[in-house]
Amino acid sequence: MNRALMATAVAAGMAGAGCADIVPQGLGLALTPGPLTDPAVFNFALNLEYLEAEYYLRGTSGQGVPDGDVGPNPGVVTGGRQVAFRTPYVAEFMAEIANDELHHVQFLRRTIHNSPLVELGRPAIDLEGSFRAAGQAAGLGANFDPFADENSFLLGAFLFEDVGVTAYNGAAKLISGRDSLEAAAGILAVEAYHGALIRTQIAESGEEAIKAANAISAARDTLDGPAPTEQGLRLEDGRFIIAPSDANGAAFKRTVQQVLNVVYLSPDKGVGFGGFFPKGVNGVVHHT
Amino acid sequence: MTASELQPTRRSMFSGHATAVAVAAGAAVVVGAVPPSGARARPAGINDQDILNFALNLEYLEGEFYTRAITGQGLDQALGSALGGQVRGGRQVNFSNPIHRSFMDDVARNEMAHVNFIRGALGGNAVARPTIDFNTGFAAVAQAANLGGNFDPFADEQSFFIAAFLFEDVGVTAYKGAAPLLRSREILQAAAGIEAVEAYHAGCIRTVLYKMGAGAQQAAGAISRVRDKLSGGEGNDQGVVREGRANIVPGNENAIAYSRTPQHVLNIVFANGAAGVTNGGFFPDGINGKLQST
Repeated sequence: MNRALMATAVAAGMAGAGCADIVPQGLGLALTPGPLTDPAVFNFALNLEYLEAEYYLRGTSGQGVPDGDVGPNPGVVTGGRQVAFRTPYVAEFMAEIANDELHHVQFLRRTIHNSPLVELGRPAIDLEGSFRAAGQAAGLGANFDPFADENSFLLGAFLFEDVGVTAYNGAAKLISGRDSLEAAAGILAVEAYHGALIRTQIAESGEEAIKAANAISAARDTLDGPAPTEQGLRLEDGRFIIAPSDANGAAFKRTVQQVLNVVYLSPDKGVGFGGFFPKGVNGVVHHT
Repeated sequence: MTASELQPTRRSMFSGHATAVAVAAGAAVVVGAVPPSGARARPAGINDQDILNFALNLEYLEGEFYTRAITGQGLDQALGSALGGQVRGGRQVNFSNPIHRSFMDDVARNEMAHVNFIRGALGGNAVARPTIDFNTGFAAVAQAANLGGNFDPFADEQSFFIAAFLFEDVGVTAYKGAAPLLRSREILQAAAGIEAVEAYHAGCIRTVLYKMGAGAQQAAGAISRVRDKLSGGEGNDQGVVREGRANIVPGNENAIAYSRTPQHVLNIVFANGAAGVTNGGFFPDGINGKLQST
């Protein structure tokens, strides 16, 4: 369902019982904040999984998410190509992540496909201009291309994985169904496994890669407001951080708006598209 | 490294941003009605505090393991307070790779923070550290996994990573299994955040083991099979190689991490696959709290 149709359906009362407040589509300002349903949370997550799946699949195979898994009117994916990995096990690591992310896309699509007001299709995704902008913001130069070589691909991956962890961790309290919760907790863990793999590999990829990862972490941190959400790969005192976490040893979390700030590459409120999602994400929540 | 370097900031649970509910400030909609399903069954008479206390026993185990390996001292010295039962075995590891040591230092700090955090959250209801025996625990696992009669987890870097492998995936499955049992949203949020950190740890350890080559990969595979066998034999465990390729993430066909019940977690740390067991392996006197039997 596209946005306009969805808005019409909502206005016509299709949402049924419990439909208290409606976001006027296009305005991006809620009349009243309220909790998201489990399918809405998963729908939001699906956008992030599409982004990750397209990134890793294109980087490892040259092909994106299969046509059968992107919906009838999928958004266009710009950029992304097979990377010439120089280290065989790194290619294996990245292929494993690609497979996981595709499975997440398929699982989430299956899980919510009968739910009201979900948009299952792939949103438009930009893997080119987005990375150039992110790279510039992080001080990596104006032409950052994550598909150029192995280290660049690891850095592009680094940009995503900790965000996935904070997104699912932030969603934990929003989810009410116990089965949904267990699934989300299981995907959360998998994203953290990925995050650690990427951190471990970058730490052993030389000084330039370590500094670039730190710069990406710092750039993410400037996008999502003052709440603590980040620890770089290496602290100023030289200690490496494998698990970005707070003083309690708990992983950081981001609200959906903070996640959108990062993937839209915009620190502002009320933004509905940009960065990796040039037409915005699909689903009922899509504005910072 | 001194104990004070490892001392995390003590905080009361749920202070600060822990309560910052991610309610949409800008774009949320109530789209109606997916009724929450009933809370998952949990053992009769068990509440959130009991589950947290169960987790605390595991955090004591991990905290002692990593803290001793990094600093040569236990949690009592690191935290400056007597936490409970005796700890046998464990000593400073001579890491050959400074990056690996630094990552394990971070893990040690995280596990100590978990001990502090959960003890703080439970206050006077926190259980004391049970007796922990790394000698008997690792001897039992090493024998079951055919790692050789002289397996010493603190002997060198590779041995330490193999030993650490035993714990971390179990921590992930334990927290994931506990998440749907918890009633309090605050505690659930904390558990999710700790689960993710355990998964980061596990991801690092699995990556390092894979890169260490065939010997380490085979040891991890053997330990994974032992864990699986001890905890029900349901195939809910994976080594770092599958079908001849790297397998850093253990998960099901949907790429979702596995869960374990508290009973199955105890099967592993007691190194005993039977039901109704209350001690053994790493916990020769059992664990403290209401959940204490396989």
